[in-house]
Amino acid sequence: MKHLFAWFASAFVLFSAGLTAQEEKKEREPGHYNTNKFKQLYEEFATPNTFRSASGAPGPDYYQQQADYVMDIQLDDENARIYGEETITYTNNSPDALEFLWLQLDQNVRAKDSKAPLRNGSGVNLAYTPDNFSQTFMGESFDGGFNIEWVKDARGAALPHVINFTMMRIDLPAPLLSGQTYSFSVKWWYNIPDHTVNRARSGYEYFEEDGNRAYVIAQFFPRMAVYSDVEGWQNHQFWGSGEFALPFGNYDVSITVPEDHVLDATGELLNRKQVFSKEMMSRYEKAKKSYDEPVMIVTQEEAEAAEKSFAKKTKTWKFRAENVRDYAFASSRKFIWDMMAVKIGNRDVMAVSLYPKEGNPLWEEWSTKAVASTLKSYSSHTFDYPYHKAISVHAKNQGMEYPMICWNYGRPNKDGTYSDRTKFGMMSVIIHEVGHNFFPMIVNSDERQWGWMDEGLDTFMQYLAEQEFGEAYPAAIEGLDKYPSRRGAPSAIVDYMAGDQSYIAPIMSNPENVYQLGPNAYAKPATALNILRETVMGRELFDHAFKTYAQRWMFKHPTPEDFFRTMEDASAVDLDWFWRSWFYTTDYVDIGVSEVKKYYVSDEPTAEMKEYMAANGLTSADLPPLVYLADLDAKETDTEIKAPAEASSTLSEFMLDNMTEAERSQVKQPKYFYEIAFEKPGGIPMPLIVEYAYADGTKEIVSYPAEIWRKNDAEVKRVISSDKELVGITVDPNLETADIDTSNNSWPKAEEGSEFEKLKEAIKQ
Amino acid sequence: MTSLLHTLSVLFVALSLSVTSIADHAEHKFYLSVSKLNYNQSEEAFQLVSRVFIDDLELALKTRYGVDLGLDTEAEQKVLAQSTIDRYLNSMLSLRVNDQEVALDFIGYTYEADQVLLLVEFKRPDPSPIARVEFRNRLLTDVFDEQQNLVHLTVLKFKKSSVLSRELDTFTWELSHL
Repeated sequence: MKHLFAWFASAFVLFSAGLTAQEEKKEREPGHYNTNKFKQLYEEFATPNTFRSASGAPGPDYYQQQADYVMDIQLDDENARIYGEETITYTNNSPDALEFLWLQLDQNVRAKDSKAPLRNGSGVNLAYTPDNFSQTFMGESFDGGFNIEWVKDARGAALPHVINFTMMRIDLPAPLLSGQTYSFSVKWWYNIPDHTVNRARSGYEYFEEDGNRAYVIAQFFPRMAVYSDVEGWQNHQFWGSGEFALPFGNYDVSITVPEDHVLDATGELLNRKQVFSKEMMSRYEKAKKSYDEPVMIVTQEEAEAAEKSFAKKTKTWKFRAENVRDYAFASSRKFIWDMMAVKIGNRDVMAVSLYPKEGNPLWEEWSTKAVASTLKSYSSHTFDYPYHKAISVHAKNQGMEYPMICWNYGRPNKDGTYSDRTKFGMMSVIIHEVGHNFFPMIVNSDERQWGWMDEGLDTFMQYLAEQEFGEAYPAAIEGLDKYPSRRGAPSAIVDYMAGDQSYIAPIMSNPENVYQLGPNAYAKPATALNILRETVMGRELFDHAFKTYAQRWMFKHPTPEDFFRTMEDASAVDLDWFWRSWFYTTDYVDIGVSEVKKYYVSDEPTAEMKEYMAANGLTSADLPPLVYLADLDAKETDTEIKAPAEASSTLSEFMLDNMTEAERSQVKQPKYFYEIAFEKPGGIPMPLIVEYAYADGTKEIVSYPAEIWRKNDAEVKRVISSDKELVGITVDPNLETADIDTSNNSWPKAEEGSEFEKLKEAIKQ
Repeated sequence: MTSLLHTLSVLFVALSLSVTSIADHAEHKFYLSVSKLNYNQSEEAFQLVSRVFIDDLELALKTRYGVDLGLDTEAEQKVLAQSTIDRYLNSMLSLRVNDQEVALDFIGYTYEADQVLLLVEFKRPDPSPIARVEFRNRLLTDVFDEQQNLVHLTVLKFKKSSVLSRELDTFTWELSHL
């Protein structure tokens, strides 16, 4: 008995190891580090500490700096210049003493001596127009850098400062100790650029027909850089692609503009009664109670009348904004203005739009509704929108976000007609930019370092919000059954991920150094999150973890690890393999079915078994009763396939001895056995989703977890038994995984016509 | 003279659009097209599907030829669009196989969301074995300096991808390089 038991044990190992004993011994291979794709990310992640916990939450010693601003701004419309005087009160909440402070002078990216235009290689053009030639080689370029008039301390004494490109260091007379506060003032001005010619994020658009400008003004004042536990002083210059890293603070801002301008900005308007007419006040009161339709505060007719007034007198608008990381405003006498209320939790928030008549009829119809719908969607997935308003401003070709206010494109033709593309482009950009209030305005990640942390998360949320907007406003998507979202679907990222590896950078790259910022920082992370939600984690686990991240880091500064760790912490799903392959590498998904072998139940030892017996000097008398699965293709006679108990007397006897009649009638009697080999040419391990199709027309989808690849990253086998014949296998039948090559996804190999042939057919019809 | 004037006006628009971007917007347009060029052996033809943004193509055609086609709208001028796109593709795309130019046949176009899919067939005059393929793709690089054209080529069992741009507009595949 003992002998038999030992034999069974060795046979078990033998069978599961798949007959490797006869393989020739290879030359001894060297050892290696742990390169398993499921290895934890200890090397990639920063070590958790008391500032940032291993859970992904802020640690007990987490701190962030505070920068409060009092600003007096003058807009010189005639000369397109802006002047400002600001007092910054900086609170050092860090444990460190600071010998100096760094400010950001983002407008210096447009200074005459800016290095930004020199950072890219360029070739000689085929030809130059004289205008372009003189601009490039002979002329004076536009001087849009900051002119810093002075920097003074609280007593009015000049403070030494040094400008390094887009940053300015202020040398303090004594180090600013932990817990201390320091106030100083800066006076500055600069020439406002025409944002329509050089794709600036801020500036004016000039309207030749009426001689007016519409201003969208941002990153316009010297702003405090971030000092943090991960970077110290943020020291990445503003080169153009990496956006901003800013501390939170409170802003008291007075903005003086021509008195016929209509203006809105970050923060609460403090002197509404002084700057609004009586009529505007009563419309505003009405808007506060209108939850379904926007109420006009300034009508198109009024805006058109104002276009002609060119007032010389000025008016000062006063705002206060609390706990914001930045400040922006829009001003023009061309602006039409509408508002409506939206319930967020138990609070009323105002959804607001500002647009010149050139935006109509599109803007009056959809802008404010898109703002309201976005606030609701994002709030339900993160936290209740904490500010009192969100403004969408129409500016040509713009798509840029600031706290409570953003600039958006989408302009109808001159005759007021517009295509679906213009309409959906406008709605999508509004949803995206209003959504940025959540990421990064409130969940304040470092955009300069990690573009994907706000763009990727926001683009992911945008997809959900667009779908919900379509459901809330069926008229907006008239003729379609759902909102036509551009990004998010796994299949949409395939072309990018299948591309030339020398032009792809991992998501975890600085925005300045990637080849294609759109797919890299927006589409790929958004798709990865969508796949996590739909395929890897499931909606319930994902949504809870995502919300946990948003709430933990609301009004704080998260890093990528804080996001990665929280998603695992709140879901109990180990995702290190997912972060590694999707975020830290340029790997792609390619999984397929490579071989299918058919087997039948037999009492006879198979050929392999006979070989094994001969090699080990065993005869059938030495063996206990065994059941075999034999290769169906090697079967000589074409007899009918029987149920296991019929095919094997060994099995039948075993059942008689060990099961009651009732039990025997209950057991499964699968007739068909298959060994299926799945291959994985792609680097990313993903859940193996397989659709099995049977002869009776039924189908079954089995999802094997990604961990199925943990011991063999190239191939894995599964044995399937069934009482129905298997006729087809499809890997990833619903295209959920962004598989870049589906030609190996089916058995038998599907001879599907090429995309070209299909499209050609469709075009001809 | 007309032709020179025309050329200059095209250049002017192209160049005035070609200011180096020093600012990328939070949700701005990325100038990108994707082309799949597959060799269909039974047809002895290279078959191309190029995806470009409708707005971008429309702007290019307007800039070069001064036509407003109203692509993907009710006002679309279908016949004119077919001939104008054909003309454009003939200037921007070319294929050489074994150092011989292969003629371009514009099959037609269709839409998918905000993109237009352009179908082109390059029928080979002879079925000699393929040793070298040169595909030139300048789509939209005339109007956008930042335009990037992603190309995926499949010849029999060989696959190769590249990113083309204004500076590097030709993609070469050689059997001997494998």
